[in-house]
Amino acid sequence: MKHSWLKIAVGLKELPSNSQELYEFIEYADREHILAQVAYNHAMHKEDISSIKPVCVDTDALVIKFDNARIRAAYDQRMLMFESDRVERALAHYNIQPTLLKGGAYVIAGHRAGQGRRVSDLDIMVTDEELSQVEKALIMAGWQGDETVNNDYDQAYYRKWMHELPPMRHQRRRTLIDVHHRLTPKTARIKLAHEKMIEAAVKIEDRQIRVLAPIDRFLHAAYHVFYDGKLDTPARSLIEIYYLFDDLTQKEITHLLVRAREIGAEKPLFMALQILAEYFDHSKAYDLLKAFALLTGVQIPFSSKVIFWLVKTQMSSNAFSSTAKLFLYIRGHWMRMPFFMLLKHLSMKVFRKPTKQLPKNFLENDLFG
Amino acid sequence: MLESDIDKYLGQGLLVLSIGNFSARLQSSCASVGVHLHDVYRDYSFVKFDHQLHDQFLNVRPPNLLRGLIKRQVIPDPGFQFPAVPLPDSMGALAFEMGLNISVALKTYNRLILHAGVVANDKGGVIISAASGGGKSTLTALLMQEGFRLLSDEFGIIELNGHTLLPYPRPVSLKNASIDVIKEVAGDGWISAVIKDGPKGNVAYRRARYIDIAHACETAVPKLIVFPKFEKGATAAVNKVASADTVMRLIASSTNYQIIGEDAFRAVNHIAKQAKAYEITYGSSADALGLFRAVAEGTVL
Repeated sequence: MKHSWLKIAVGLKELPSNSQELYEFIEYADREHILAQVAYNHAMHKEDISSIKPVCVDTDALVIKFDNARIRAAYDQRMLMFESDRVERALAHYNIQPTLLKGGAYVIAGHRAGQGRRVSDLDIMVTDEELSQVEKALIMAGWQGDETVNNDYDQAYYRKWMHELPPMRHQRRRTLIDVHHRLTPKTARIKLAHEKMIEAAVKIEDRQIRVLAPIDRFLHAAYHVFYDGKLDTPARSLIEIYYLFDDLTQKEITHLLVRAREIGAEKPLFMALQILAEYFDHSKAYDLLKAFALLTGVQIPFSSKVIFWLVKTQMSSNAFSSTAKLFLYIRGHWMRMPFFMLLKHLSMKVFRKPTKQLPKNFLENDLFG
Repeated sequence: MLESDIDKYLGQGLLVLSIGNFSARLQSSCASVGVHLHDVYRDYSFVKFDHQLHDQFLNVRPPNLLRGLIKRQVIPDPGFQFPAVPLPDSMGALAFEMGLNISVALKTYNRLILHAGVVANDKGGVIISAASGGGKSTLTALLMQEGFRLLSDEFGIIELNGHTLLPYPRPVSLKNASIDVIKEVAGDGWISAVIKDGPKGNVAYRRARYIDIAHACETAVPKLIVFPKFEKGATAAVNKVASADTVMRLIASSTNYQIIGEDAFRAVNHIAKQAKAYEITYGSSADALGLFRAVAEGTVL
């Protein structure tokens, strides 16, 4: 990945003008599942593209790439809208207002982080007390534990240690939902104060659904990127952080550090600010980092500098990036659970029989002639 | 392009195959894929990759290091995760065709994709929609001998504005008994060597003709929809299919209807209204053609 590509992705820079870099950028964006977001930021119409692109680039081919990506992503948005409506309906009777997280929240709240974002499932959060009622209500409405985790080990593991129920799949629509009752695994080394965040959540007008307050949404996303062991598609996560940060008001930005301390997200905040400064040249991120450096009692933790360097190495696709990736993966697990538990968990995962999942009815579809 | 260049660029992943409105970047270390391209794709246009954006990517490669050395196998790798069943190294052609189909079916969203054979003459297009084993490819290949040009034997590709059929003429895949049926009418020279004992039995490819490939950018207006039903020993029969039923059947055959949404709904309805639809049941190719001619006459094809 080239250093400037994240800026291009969010529309801070023009698309590459030479065909080789454009090709590489488009392939990268496609792999990282951010092509639709690129499309929204760079051209709404065919005319827009032809007017800004040099002649050496085949504009028709670019229009088709963008169209394909936008249509695919629009399906995800519809799915989220529909599923959140069904969840609301399933829980309405019990007077439970779930809090939508991540992509679902961005789409429902009409936030630009949701525009063109690819998502595979809906994430909701409810309180500990509501959890068993929610699970029952969802089962009544057609969701069931997904086949991939419907084994004793996974079910027990999720329920005992995790911050969410095992993923549930709707039996007719085949859509997935993750039901959280907190934001961090029970065993995680950094824990977010999810009760405080639920308390501050904002109700969506005319709906029985809530989303996290803007600051919390940003801090949760930052936590998710750096402390959840999931950096498979880093570009997607980093531009998400950019959008969420960029849309904070000045008042919210001033309040960031206080809130981060309240909910235990200080390290993720520093990580995110460094990324925002490094990859997006975000002036407000620079300002905050400078201001924090002057404040007594605020020290940027050394560990977050190391992690930042690892993330950069993974992203730069040089000789060390796969080593960095492996290290981040192990660290992701390390952050989730104590060492001996990790050992047991990983050995379970290595030695159990892998099950290959074929899309339902796909083989019968005779695309193989 | 010279055969030696095709082999060279194929090995390096620098080969681009253009068919009508679509282009695919290809890579393979498997010799049988090269042979397939030289034979069945001899009339197509290949260029060297020069960072032009393409619609599909396909690498036909061994599933792992070991299977590249002993008891060699290949799988199609379309560049995104797809669980494919490994095939013997000698069946590179199957893996190639399968892989390109997967890539078209799962990566195209700006056009509605129906799983159907499509042919056309200057009066309009025919969509041949059938489940596996229904005789879709056989009927498509038979109609190529009846003055129709081939648009595709796998994909009815429908433009979302205009609702016309977009050609994507690739070789017609013939299975088992239909290989000899088509050999007889098309002539030995147009059929590839038979790949024996594949996952679905024997397979051979009926080459697209120069005229099919050369007209691959000319769209066709769908005028007739045929749902063929091949049953051994069946008495020939025609049934008109109502427009609403046609819509439901076409939706069921689509790979991307759900993802496209409203535009796909409009397209399917438009087509079902504009074209006449028939289910034809037959037990021989003579019956199939007889029935087809009867329904085609009714629609002025």
